Amino acid sequence: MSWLTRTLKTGTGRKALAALSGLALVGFLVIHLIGNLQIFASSDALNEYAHALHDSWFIVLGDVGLLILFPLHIGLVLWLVLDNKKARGDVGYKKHASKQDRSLARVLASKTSLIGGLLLMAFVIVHIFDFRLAHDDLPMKGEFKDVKGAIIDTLSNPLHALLYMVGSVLVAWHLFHGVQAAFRSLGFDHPRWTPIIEKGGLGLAIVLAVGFVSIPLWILVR
Amino acid sequence: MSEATINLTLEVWRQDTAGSGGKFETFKLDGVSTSLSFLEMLDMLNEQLLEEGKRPITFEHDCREGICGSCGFMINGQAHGPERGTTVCQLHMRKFKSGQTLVLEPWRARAFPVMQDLMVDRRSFDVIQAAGGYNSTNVGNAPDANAVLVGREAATEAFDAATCIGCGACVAACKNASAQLFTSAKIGHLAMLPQGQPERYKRVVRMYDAMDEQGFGNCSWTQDCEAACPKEISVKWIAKAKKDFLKARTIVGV
Repeated sequence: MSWLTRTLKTGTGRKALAALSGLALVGFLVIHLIGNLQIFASSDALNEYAHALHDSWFIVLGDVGLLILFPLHIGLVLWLVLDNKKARGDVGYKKHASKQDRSLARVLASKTSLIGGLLLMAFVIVHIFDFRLAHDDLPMKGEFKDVKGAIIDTLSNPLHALLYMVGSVLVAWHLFHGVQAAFRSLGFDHPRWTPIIEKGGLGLAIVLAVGFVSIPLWILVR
Repeated sequence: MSEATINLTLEVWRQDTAGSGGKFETFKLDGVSTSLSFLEMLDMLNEQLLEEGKRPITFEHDCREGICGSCGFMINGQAHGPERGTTVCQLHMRKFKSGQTLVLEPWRARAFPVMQDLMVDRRSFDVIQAAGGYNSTNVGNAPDANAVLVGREAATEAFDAATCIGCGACVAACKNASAQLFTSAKIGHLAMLPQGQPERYKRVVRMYDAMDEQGFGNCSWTQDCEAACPKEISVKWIAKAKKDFLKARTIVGV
């Protein structure tokens, strides 16, 4: 066996790769939000941006990258989860309680990262059908495809808008635990930097949640 | 002043032999002195059971001073009971209220099969330790105390990790039954010292591989292990050991 397959057979190796793929997905989310926020521009800035994006190699990189990263991240985590379920053994606990004095939110975020991640996956699938796959068939507005109009159209439905707000909060909840856990899974520990990474992960989660929620919210109350 | 006593209801996991399956049995125990340790309370119950001609409850114990790592089981779902930084032998009945129901269960992990009642087989920890938690070179008698210089911080940190008593509470408390805290503490204390350097990377790979082979789970960074550890060993050791493991595999080439 090569060093790579031997490493990936171990839980620690798989967890490290899941962490790397997760951090790469976080990077994608940041770029995604910056692009999306152009919807607030009074002009057709979003349409122009979408046109430039879909005209460049960047869209291929994004599509192929996400097609690799998402299944990799989810697959590795599910593989780890199967190991974890087996590790408890045939008889579980009648009672199982924590002794932690960390904040309840941090403990909960960790304990719900699997179910939250699965819900997030379902949301991402809906999201891809809503916008990415529908992109080619969009009507034109001036010289560009009317991406802004399509978004406003889709999210004017209050239930659809609510789904996107829930999805945005889910992603933030996932990153609240995920960002600091990813650094630790990659072996990063430092008395000064680890607390900053914990706070930074929380800050990033809040920025992404507020940023992504603001779009359907604006469309609803506009 | 008369001694305070409490009355308890105990739901205890009873299992005759390894692999035989088991069930909870309920006991009423009155007049428990609050000065007793938890294990002394179980001794009191066992004396009653012996008088009634019943099999006493099996639980592991040795030093009863909180330093040997023999004792440990779940009390109402908490490893070693509700008090932090304490083994169950050092937990006292004054921490409980009269009328309380306490559920006592053994550690639950595939790698820790139950032998009888509250006693589990922790030989999987020995396997991990034997895979690399030592220096393999025989260097004769103990060297002069100051022949190998160790910095104050390194010595203190190494000692923090070395306080692990191998009780298994980390595995029991972890939602994934992971042995990362135990293994990383054993790796970490040698990695902090000059004597641990020659075999540092071989050690982490061997011990991590043994940990996986024994069927323990993975780390989700929930940090229940640190909270349950009677020696309050930090999860930072897990990150440090992971760093050594990943470095061993990708850069050092072990």
